[in-house]
Amino acid sequence: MEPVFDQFYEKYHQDLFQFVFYMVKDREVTEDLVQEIYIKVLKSYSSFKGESSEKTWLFSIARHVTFDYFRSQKRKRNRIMDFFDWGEKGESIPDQNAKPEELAIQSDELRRIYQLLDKCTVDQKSVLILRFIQSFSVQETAKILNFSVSKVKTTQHRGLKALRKHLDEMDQKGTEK
Amino acid sequence: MKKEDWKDKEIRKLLQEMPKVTDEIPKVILYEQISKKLTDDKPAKNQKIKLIPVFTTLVAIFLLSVIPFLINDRNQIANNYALDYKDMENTNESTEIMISEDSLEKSGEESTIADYHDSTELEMGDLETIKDSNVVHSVGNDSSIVFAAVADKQFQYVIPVSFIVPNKNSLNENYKQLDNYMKEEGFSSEYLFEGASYEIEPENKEVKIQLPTNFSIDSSAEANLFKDIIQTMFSPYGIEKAVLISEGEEPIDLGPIGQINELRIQESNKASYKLYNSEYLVPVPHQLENNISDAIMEMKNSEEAFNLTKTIPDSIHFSVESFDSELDLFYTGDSVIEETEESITMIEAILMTAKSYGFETVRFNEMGIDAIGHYNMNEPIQVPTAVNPIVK
Repeated sequence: MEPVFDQFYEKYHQDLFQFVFYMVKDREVTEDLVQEIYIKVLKSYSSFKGESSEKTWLFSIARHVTFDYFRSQKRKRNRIMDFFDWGEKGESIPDQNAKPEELAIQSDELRRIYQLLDKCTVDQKSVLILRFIQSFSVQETAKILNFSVSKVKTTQHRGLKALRKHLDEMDQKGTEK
Repeated sequence: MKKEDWKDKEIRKLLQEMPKVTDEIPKVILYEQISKKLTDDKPAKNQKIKLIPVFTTLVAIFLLSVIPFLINDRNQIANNYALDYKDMENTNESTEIMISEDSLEKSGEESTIADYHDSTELEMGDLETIKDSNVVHSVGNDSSIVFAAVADKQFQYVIPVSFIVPNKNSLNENYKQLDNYMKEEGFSSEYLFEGASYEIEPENKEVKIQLPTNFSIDSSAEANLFKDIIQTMFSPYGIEKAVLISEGEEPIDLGPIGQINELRIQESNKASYKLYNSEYLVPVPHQLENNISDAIMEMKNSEEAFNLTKTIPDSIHFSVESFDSELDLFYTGDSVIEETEESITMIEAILMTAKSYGFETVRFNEMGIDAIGHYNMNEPIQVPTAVNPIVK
């Protein structure tokens, strides 16, 4: 087994898997993306200059691969919408890849948070996952996302605000019913 | 549970309590899957290399079979043969460049450079279009690049040129030939440093430039270009300082800049690339505070007075994003982008502009076309190594 793979797997694999999973919320896609991430790591490890830690280097690759996946999905969705030319109706076409939730969450509150993460922008979602689900520091998150420390803080603040707004709205609707 | 007001602290706590997600695939199986994908990649690349000589041979056979049928019209034959021979020469040049790119990728230095050679069709496209290219992504081990620069006719802009020379001599030996290269290309009057000699010391990140006795700066425009030309020539080698040596005792007099003995060389200047005399890509420098969106916008402006033509047509619009060292352009225009020489120039000018802003790759999104020239629009494209190549 390639020592580089072994080293990264032992140190970071489960964290890496979890990060990608929470970003894409699909186990099968996560497995594919994680493979792609390791391939990039193995191909480019010789050019890793050690300017960042291995951990932030690995997760910045993961971030690139995940963002690429989102972009490809966006392109796919746009093509489908163009094809049918459904105008406003097109906006409400559900994600073609939408699947039943793959994560069994008992708590109602946690399940809501899990769903509402998708209401955040990709940047906000990345920051919230890295900071609170993965417990990365602000500095580590900044390096992974190539943000300044202050941008991480602002994005984090906005992400929490977005979640709060949607939670309040859900509560409001619940009360009205 | 319903609440009137959610507090950030509670939301943070809930996020921290989200369940752990673990991969259930055993490590060995995962490694096998990765190894398989890695090995699956390799044969395809070997095949691509073999296709190139096959294509060249087919072109040659086709020409040999066609020429006798055209013998009734001697002039026609002469013209065709001249054109076809020129194409074959270009084909051979592009073959060398492509193979070298592929071998570079194999060495693991630049995985993305060969990413746009993903299909046979694209490689055929390469052979047809690379002769129109204004940039070079890499050269093989048998060639080196001599970075040089000349001034435009009005001494306003620096025109970078990259001589691709056989790798027979040392870099310093190659620079001794620079006067000859310039004369051969008819650049004598635009080359400010005729008669100068260069000694590059990469280990000290320094170049010593010995200027001829008759060296003079005649105008403030020339003086301003002086520094930019030195920077264009030597920053690609990682040189940080130019030591200027005059044959007389006095330091070099740069008119408005004053007398100087040495110059600091910056890595690169932010610029928008435009087309000079419909032939060369030229950087139009920016202020430090400009951003890449400004630079892309600026590429839509021609400067007729200086023979500079816009490199992004009026009908083409992009929205601009960046991710780390990757520049992402999203096409937002209505007109259909076609594979024309103008489009290739636009792509290459954007790549060079992005490079000047420190980006390493550019991704074109929503272009509605899979490839332009040998650039795959579905993959990130590496910024070029050199601009305005002249093969010696």
